[in-house]
Amino acid sequence: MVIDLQRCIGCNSCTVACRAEHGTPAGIHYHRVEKYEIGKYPSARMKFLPIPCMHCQDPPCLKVCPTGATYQREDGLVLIDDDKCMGCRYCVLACPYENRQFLSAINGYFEGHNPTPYEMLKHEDFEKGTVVKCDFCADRLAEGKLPACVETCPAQARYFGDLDDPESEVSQLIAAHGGTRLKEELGTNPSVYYING
Amino acid sequence: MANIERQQSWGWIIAVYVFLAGVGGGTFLFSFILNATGMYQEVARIGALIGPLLVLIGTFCLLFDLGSISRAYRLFTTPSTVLASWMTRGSWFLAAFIIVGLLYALPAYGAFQWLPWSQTSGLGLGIGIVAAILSVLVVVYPGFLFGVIESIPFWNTPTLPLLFFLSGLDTGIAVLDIIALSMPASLGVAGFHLLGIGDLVFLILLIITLGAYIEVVRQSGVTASASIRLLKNPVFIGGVVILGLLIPLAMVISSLFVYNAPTLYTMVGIIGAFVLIGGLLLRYSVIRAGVRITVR
Repeated sequence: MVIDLQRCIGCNSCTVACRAEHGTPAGIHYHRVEKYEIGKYPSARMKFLPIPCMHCQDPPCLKVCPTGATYQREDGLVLIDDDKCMGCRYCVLACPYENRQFLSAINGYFEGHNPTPYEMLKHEDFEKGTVVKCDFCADRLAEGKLPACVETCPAQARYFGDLDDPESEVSQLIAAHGGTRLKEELGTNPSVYYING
Repeated sequence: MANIERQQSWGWIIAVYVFLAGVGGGTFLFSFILNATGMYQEVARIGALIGPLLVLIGTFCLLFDLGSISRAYRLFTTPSTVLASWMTRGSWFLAAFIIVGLLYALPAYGAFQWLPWSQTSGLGLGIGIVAAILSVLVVVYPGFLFGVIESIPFWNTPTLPLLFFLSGLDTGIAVLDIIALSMPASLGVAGFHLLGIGDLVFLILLIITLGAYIEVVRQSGVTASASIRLLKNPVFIGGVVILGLLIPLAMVISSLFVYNAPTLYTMVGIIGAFVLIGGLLLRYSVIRAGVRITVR
């Protein structure tokens, strides 16, 4: 995935699309946008940093997982098999990007009310007592669709494709703009590149 | 200034576990050494049993802390994770130590004398040596469990396994102190003075190691120094440093010059209790002060 930081307007549509797509219980978010200020008045401005799972090629979360619940697919996606997760939360500690969350309870968004029919349906995919995270919308990819965050972005700041293919749009963007990755010094080899940062 | 964000994943239950693994392993190791050298075997016999039992209780804490406890068996059915995860390795160490440690300890008790070995037979000694090696692994591995987490610089240091090891040994002697107090005649003043010298050595090593750990980590970056600032609280300074290290140190030194048995026993009891409280609070403080690096 490539994220163009110059195009990002910090609207959090990606975060909302992600929540809607996955029907994540209250308090659980697979995606976030960090907002911060750079410079000093009068030349200060806001910066936005959208953070999905980095789907690292050398994922620290996978290394520490003691039950084999976290696995890496041939195409590079790092996923969790929730039937195998025992909820030790070692991976939550190991992920430097804070993308993993422990599902201690499955609550609806509307406190004091019954969950909506949509929530009831979506919550069937979740298992209490396990760790969850962004899966780059693996279900959508299987249907040939883009991840929800990429499709939704109104500023068209997100691109998705095959980093191994030098002809792909994402590879071309990185070649043209020189992408940076978060916490590269940790050797995690993330699959999310930021351009124009 | 970056935001300070403590890790929220592991809390006091894990602290109790790491403490019990250290105490249990340390108690067993010293009991085995006493037994093998033929010293104070009455005390060692009890220590060899209490060690694995403390680790067993700690293991229950670990299980209790899991989100999906019914899947804990997977720790032993996914051998490929042994190559990468310290949690898997630790589970094997724990299971092996509890079993082998009990096999060593139990023949010393009437109900188990049908077992075809004793603590002094060749086979029993062999079992004891294996258990002693496992006890060291049980004490040390939590340091690796935390130490490999790169996203928390305060833990990600080579000193942490050593710190847990020394504290494990230190608290192990404290348990022997307390066991010995239930049968003071079997040790006598000379025996308590010998344990006191052990106490003294490990307290000094622990103070030096903890001091070095804190000072070096404090100088090693913004996130790490944020952790050290979090340690400026009554639990760490009052509970770990003063109550758990400095007061016992002063009392151990003075106890070596006390020959009046009742006074000595009182001092040993206080030292033992303080060292144990300090050991528990040390684990708790280290875990609570785990500050994560910021993503940006």
